[in-house]
Amino acid sequence: MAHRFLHSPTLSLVTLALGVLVLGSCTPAPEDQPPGTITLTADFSFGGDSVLVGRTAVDHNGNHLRLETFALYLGGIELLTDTGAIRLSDAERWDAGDDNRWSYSVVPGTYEGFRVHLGVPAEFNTDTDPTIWPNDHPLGVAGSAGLFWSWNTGYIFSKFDGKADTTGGNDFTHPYAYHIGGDANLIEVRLDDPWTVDPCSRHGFSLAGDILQFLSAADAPIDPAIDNVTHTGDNPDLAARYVTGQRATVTLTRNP
Amino acid sequence: MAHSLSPLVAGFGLLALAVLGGSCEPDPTVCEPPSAATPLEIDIPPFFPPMDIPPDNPTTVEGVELGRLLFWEKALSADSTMSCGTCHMPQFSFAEPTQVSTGITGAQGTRNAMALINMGWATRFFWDGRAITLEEQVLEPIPHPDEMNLPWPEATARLAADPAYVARFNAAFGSDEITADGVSKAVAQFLRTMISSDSKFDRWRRGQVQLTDQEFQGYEIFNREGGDPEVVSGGQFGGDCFHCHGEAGLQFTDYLFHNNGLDSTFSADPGLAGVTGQPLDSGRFRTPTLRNVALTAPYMHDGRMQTLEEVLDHYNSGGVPSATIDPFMKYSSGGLMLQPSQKAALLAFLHTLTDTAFVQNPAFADPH
Ligand code: HEC
Ligand code: HEC
Repeated sequence: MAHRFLHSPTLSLVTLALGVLVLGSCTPAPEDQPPGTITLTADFSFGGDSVLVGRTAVDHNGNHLRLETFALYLGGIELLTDTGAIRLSDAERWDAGDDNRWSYSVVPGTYEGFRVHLGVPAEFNTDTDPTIWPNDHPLGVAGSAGLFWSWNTGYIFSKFDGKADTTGGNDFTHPYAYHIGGDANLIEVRLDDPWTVDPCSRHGFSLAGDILQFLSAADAPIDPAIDNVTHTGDNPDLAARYVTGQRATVTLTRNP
Repeated sequence: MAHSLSPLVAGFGLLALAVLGGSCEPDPTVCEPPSAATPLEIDIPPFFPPMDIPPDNPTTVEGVELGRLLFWEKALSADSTMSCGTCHMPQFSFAEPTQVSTGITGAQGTRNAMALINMGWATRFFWDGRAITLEEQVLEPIPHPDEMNLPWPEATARLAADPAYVARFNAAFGSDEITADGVSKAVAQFLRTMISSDSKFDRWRRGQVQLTDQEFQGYEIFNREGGDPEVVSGGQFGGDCFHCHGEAGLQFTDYLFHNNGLDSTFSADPGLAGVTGQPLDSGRFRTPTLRNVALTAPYMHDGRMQTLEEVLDHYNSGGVPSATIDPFMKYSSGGLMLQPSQKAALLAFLHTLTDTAFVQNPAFADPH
């Protein structure tokens, strides 16, 4: 799913041909140079380990949490320029156990920064119909399986659920589920840091954060023994606290 | 990623041809029917997702006709008494009213026959998802000892002995040779045309009819969070059904695998774990569509429940706790606590998903 259309080989060829026809042979415009590549990775962890279904970790309250689902949307992935933003992708889907790495071709030049949202941008989220997308698109009916429930509330931006052992008796029966959606809960993660993309250069952006820390933000701690279920619409307060934890935890870095 | 071609690229492609004056190469991503077979465009009903047709099995008029004959062909079972349609009966939405299926040898299977409805949109097949494509799925029942019990070489030899079938295979696939691959492709083509989109609910979505107050109330309960807010944070006295039987694409299934709390142990049938070997997949089965559910009793993978009332009582109870029960089930908080009138409304809504035009469609009936 990694490559969304930006610069297809055909397109580059055509642009090149047009360039030669129209501009003649002086200094090539940036669009006529070979593109650079940006790879986005998202290395979330769960209690310091990689995120795997079935793994358990101990939260700040001493609950043992066993993970059954961790999935989220990375949406509105954009390069920032001095005049606005260039959309690299509308949405990607992060799933436990997947490769979770996406690459985009970028026209050489200087950029002001980069941003990605945890969630689906409002223009695709409100009163949306997933059947308008190809089935395997992250926002399509099959591609969004488990992360889209109904027409009105839109997509589930992020989903973390499983069962907890709150007694220390190896008794994983207490359910917990943090299911976040809604335009108000869209989180922008951005890096304002000008840098230059040269032809054929490679750049990486990495999102990182430990899921357990989503539950332990100083101003919005969550104890899954008590506050264990939100699907957002039903428990907006708990969803907001989880979002606060996400916002405080997730970082974005560039390399190089 | 054949789908990601945007109009922009197509435009540029055209331009490229104009500029370079290139010759018209056939697009290698689009498979033309290999024979003179007539392409058949499948109409996608309103609010349905696009249907992905495998590039190596495009739908054709001749392929679908052949598939229908094969679906109903009893010669494809060892003693020529059983066809696909013996277990997948039209009046039950192409499911079966018995708890589990009985093959020609009298051997009983362990699972309830699944309704065949809108198969072109399913992403995994069987209760445990062991087949990834419809073509692959069709290969299984004919040689299966508990079903039609006819080894493939014999099955294809029987068909090859019938000149009418040879001619039909030729018309559909451009070859006189009859193979298991050809049989599975033709039947898969036929199954993709078995589309149901004319239930009362569909017509309501299209603005053609009204739901009664009770049906609409049931629809709302279906789409509301479950539980008493005093007990379950955020409960809305709803049914929680939409989490797994979601309305997106109008199929009322997420095609994912869940344990909806039927059992506490899974030795009788491990479900998805039997395919993946993962203990955490124990007791997880593919969410079935709820389309035509009023016609497909008995219910669940092993047909253990006779009525929809029983099914609703099960969900209302919250289900049986286990290591893999789905977090959406209200097993730890006293169940859904639906009142009798709410259950009646939910039931009325489930009945709006019945499409009698589909089950009576002569295009799917036995042609022999
Ligand atoms: C003996 C009864 C029987 C016969 C004959 C039979 N089936 Fe089935 N069918 C079943 C049962 C039982 C299941 C569910 C099996 C499972 O999940 O393990 C099933 C499942 C299916 C499914 C999967 C549906 C879904 O939603 O995943 C398809 C498709 C199907 N059958 C098509 C066929 C075709 C085509 C034939 C003829 C070639 C056929 N069946 C013959 C009993 C039968
Ligand atoms: C956690 C996901 C989940 C939820 C929530 C859920 N279901 Fe199901 N449903 C399933 C699965 C999975 C099965 C098949 C289970 C099996 O056979 O082992 C199923 C089976 C059914 C069946 C039997 C269908 C058949 O063909 O056998 C009906 C009817 C049904 N569900 C209705 C409902 C209703 C009504 C609700 C809300 C009150 C609901 N479900 C909530 C996942 C769910």
